[in-house]
Amino acid sequence: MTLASREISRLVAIFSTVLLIQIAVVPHFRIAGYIIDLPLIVVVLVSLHLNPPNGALVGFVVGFAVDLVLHTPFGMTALTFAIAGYGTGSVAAQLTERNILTRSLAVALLAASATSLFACIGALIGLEYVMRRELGAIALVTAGSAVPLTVLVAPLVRWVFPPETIQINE
Amino acid sequence: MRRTRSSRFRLALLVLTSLILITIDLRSEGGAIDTARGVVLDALGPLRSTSTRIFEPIGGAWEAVSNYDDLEARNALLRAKIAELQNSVLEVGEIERERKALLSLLGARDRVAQVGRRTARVIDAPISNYQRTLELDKGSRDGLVVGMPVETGAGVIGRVSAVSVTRSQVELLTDPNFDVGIRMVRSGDDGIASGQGQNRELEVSFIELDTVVIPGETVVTSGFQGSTFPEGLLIGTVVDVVPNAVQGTQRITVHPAADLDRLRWVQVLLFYPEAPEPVIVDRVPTDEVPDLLTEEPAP
Repeated sequence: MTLASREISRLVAIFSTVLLIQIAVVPHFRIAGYIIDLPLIVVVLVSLHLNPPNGALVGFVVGFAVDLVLHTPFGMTALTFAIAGYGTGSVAAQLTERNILTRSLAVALLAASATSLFACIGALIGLEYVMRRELGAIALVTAGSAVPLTVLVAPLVRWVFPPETIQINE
Repeated sequence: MRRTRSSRFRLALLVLTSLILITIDLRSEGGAIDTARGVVLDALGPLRSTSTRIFEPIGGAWEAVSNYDDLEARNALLRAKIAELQNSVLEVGEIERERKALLSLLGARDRVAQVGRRTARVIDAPISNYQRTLELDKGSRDGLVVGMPVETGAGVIGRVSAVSVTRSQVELLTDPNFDVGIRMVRSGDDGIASGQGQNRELEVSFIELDTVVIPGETVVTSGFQGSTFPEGLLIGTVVDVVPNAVQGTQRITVHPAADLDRLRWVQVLLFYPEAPEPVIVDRVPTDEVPDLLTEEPAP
């Protein structure tokens, strides 16, 4: 199934806002010296309402946009977000009926895994972007920030995907 | 079954596209990707400058609240450092006079002093945990090129890693990909200092076992021919030395002299690696130095 044009335009609006917030605001409010990865968390949240290929596509497009402003190798974020979107879409069916706390914890776990995946991809292509100690702290901060963000962003995700349009129920 | 296969195929396609992009980016310098990034950097520049002005004070307050203990400890450390520095100011002045006398006697130019500088404002912090770069409000129209050293009054903080028309990115000294040729001031031995990650000390390699290195020793850039750094820029001080008998070298840990956490203004050294012939200062045996100093320079 393809995304409806209304869903696409709303996703574009949400992710444009998220990217601007990530660029302009988030770096000034760090947790224990680490930056919250808002686009990644929102990709995971959105992918919970999509089937795996659409989750991967949304992740890829958002990652591509992030790659334009990051100075890590171009395509690394797109690759990470695409895999994160696909993985989230694959487990979404088991999570949509659960309560908000369970979903928050799932998003935290998936986002932490995705941020670790980014570091692993970096190591695989010969770029040691993070040392082991940092990776643990970054994953922890990502997971910790994902829980409240899931609750805060949930109404926006419902705005994009009203309950009757959720793809994974097809 | 068919749907699963199709969805995996789409994922594989996206993964392949990403891998191609990564390969192109890693293998090309200054290509279409760098141009696109430069355009985005320039376009977002005003937004980032404005947001920094608005959110920096609020972010500072947030940091003061969330890291109060850390700030208190840092404050105490800085007070101790001021006292220590006050004691060493006179000593440094004397050493500087001796250094200048030596350089003049040897007919060498003081390269660091002669290199032009461009003062730049740090307009934003990195936007990702995996990016160890800072953004500056100066770009190619101000004469900046990739590779130029960046420092504060306290010491080197990194090098320019990307340049657009109005902005540039600085790769920090602590980046795991950062390497620079260094010289141990006391012994004069050369090595390579490498970044080990955010909030971590630098590690110096290739210093032989028989070289005497003591904690507190100053480390400066060596400025080998072709290096992107001129000779004599302050990197930091030695904090730990661990001999490695197997490799026949020492693992030396160096604390960066510059505070990389709170950078507002920095100086970019307009030093071009391709510049003609760096001046090589011949090493003078230490036992000859006093004679040189006491002799009158030739007219």
